[in-house]
Amino acid sequence: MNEAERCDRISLMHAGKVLVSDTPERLAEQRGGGNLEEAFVAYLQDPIDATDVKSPIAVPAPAIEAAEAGEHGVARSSLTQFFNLRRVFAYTQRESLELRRDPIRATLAILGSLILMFVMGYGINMDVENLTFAAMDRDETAISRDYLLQISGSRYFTELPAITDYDDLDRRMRSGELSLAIEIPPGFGRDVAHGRNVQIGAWVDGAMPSRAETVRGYVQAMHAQWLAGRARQLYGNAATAGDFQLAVRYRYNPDIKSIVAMAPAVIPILLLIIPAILAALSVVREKELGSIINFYVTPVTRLEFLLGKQIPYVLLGMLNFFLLTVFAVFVFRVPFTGSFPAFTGGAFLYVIITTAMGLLISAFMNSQIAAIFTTALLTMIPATQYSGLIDPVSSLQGAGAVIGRIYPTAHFVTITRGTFSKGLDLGDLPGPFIALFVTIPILLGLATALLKKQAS
Amino acid sequence: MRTTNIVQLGIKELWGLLRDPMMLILIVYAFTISIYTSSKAQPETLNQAALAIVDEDKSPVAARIITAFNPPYFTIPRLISQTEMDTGLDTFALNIPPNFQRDMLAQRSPTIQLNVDATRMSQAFTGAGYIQTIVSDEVSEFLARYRSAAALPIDLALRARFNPELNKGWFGAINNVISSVTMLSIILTGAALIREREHGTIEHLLVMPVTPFEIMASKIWSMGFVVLLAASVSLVFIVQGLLSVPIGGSVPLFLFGTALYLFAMTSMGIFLATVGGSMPQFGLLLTLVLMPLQMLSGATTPRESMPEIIQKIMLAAPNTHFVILAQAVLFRGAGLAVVWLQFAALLVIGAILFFFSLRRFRNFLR
Repeated sequence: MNEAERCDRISLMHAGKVLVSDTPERLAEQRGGGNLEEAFVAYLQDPIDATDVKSPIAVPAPAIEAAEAGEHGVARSSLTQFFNLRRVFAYTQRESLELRRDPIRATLAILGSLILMFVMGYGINMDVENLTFAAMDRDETAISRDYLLQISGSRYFTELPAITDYDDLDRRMRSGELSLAIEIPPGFGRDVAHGRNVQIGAWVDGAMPSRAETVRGYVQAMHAQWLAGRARQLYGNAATAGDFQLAVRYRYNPDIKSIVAMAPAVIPILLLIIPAILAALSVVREKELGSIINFYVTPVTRLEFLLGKQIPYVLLGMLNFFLLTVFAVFVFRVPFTGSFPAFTGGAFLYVIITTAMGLLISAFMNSQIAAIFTTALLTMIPATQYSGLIDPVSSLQGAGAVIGRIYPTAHFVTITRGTFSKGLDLGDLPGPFIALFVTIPILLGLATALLKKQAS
Repeated sequence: MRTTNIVQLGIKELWGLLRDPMMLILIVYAFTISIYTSSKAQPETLNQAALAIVDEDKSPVAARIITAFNPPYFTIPRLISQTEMDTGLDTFALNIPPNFQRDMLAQRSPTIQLNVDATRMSQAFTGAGYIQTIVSDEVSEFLARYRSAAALPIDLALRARFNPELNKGWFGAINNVISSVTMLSIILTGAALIREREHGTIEHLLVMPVTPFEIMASKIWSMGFVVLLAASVSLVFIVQGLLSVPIGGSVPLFLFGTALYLFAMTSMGIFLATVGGSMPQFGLLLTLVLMPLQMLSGATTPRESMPEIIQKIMLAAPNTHFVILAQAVLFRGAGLAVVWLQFAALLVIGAILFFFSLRRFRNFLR
């Protein structure tokens, strides 16, 4: 009481309700006749008298609570002591409130994945089109022009003004203006007509190797086509029929558009990174700000705490999932051919896994900034490199191949591509579903085991 | 404005950085290990492509075709049935029809079907080309009964300039230098500002006779200097030394471009720090800002295959110009005469970002 007198304001509470709140002097004057201790007794006596009317036995306030807890303890089964849905939902509610009141985190949670989907859909683009090319035609005959026309006429190449000399060729290739330069030697038309061996020179800009490889493929194919076309002109169809034919069918993506291949595979990555970061932050934030003490000192168990934290992010993840799918189908115009329920079911399992991964990482982290970077690194690299986004899992070697076999993103990429592009349903994809299903208890179990219920 | 203030405050920043082990580890990692692994871990385009064969002919020529596919380009082909082909597990499926050999010897020109899973873009094109060549080589060998290479009357001499072997490791290494510069320039300056605010030392600055301009300029030069130093060291010792990637152009010219770029990016770092306010918020903002900037800048995939509107918008970002400049100078050995436009663009964008951030920074201090 002596210390309390020095306070600016005092609130008196009984059974969770604030009875009065004022400066110590005022309280003492109003009820205690100048003595704070008297005032305290007087204020508390009112509600206790009120309960006396209801309950036959008069017991002091703390005793009532203890008795209540005891009664409930008998009534509850021992299971509910370890797992109580009310306590889980209390944390869920707390977490969703906090999320709603933090504009940057809420934006990231809802808009973040859409923005990144847009960026990655266009950014990881493997179509190679509108390539720039220019020719140095030193022959200027009908036949050389015919050769160049079939390159400039294709949809892959855009022709730029002709190259005047070697200096010009050098300068324009160095600046990156030209992806391809073709040189036709003097006397080309005459040599072709006489059946003498001639060479056409082609330079590809090798600065970006994957683009250069595609350009090389295009040029070789066009060259072969032009030769076949000339043979047909000279000798008729019989000459070009060949011993056998090889018919190439590009399936699941007949137009070979990058977006059709990439958009479905980007969904698993986005459903991994953002939910994992947010889930990790939800725990680490409490550690950094100190509010984790509420978890240490209340009867809530570790599993309840984690599940309660996880639920809002799983729901958010599913919301994101629907937004991303709608975005892929209506904005990127990727046809959806398979079973949507199977896709949704897979996504649900997957979002549980990704949030559980965030919770697991949170066990080792104490500061939010470290949690953001670690989660981003630990999830990004396996998801983009080893999960079949660009290179199929079968092409990986060594450690990459092992990660590719067990990492959940790889399985969900299989489900996504299967249901999106290949028209598959649940029955066709038992492996990935089982793998995802098994991962959940492992991750949650680890996260629960590693979470500390005491400050170290 | 006093230059000594800017210099002294900048030196203070350098001391602050020196005593932050996490940031130092990040700098060292980004400019050494990260570059090394991204150069070494680039797989060949066609590596262990999954191939399956439906053999309905079972003739000697079919057997020849099946045994022609070997690692490392392809996996040993799985022999499957027609129905299995539709489950979509393999990237390539070759279907040799019944009586293929008989029809071929009778000159009826039978057709082999090659199914390609076109959702695996990286392998679809190249792989289909390789398979075509391998199959026709095997068949013509079988028909001619000896191995030969036919000379074409009109030859195409195709050469790749600047990277004759199309070594992806060269591209990966230099590309990673670019992205490390981008990432660190924003993180270091942003963190330098937020650290002051979280530790409360920004109050010290407010009571000292220094202007917001001096504070901001000091953070920009000091952090820019650190990144520039780290980038040049890693370019000389890691990229040219350890990885022995040949650099086509002049390294000083590239570093001059980097300095201009750092001016723009560190200003952006200050701006983001004033928006974020606290370290966690700043970290989240970064994930939303860095990734689009990096991916759409044309560093990993060519700009010309992006939609035109995105190409235009990205011209406003300093990254685009820096990527053009860096690729031209480092890969193609371009000189100032070729890339002066990018230098000018970086200067203009940097100036705009600087004054914009300065205005926000003044409000932030209040």
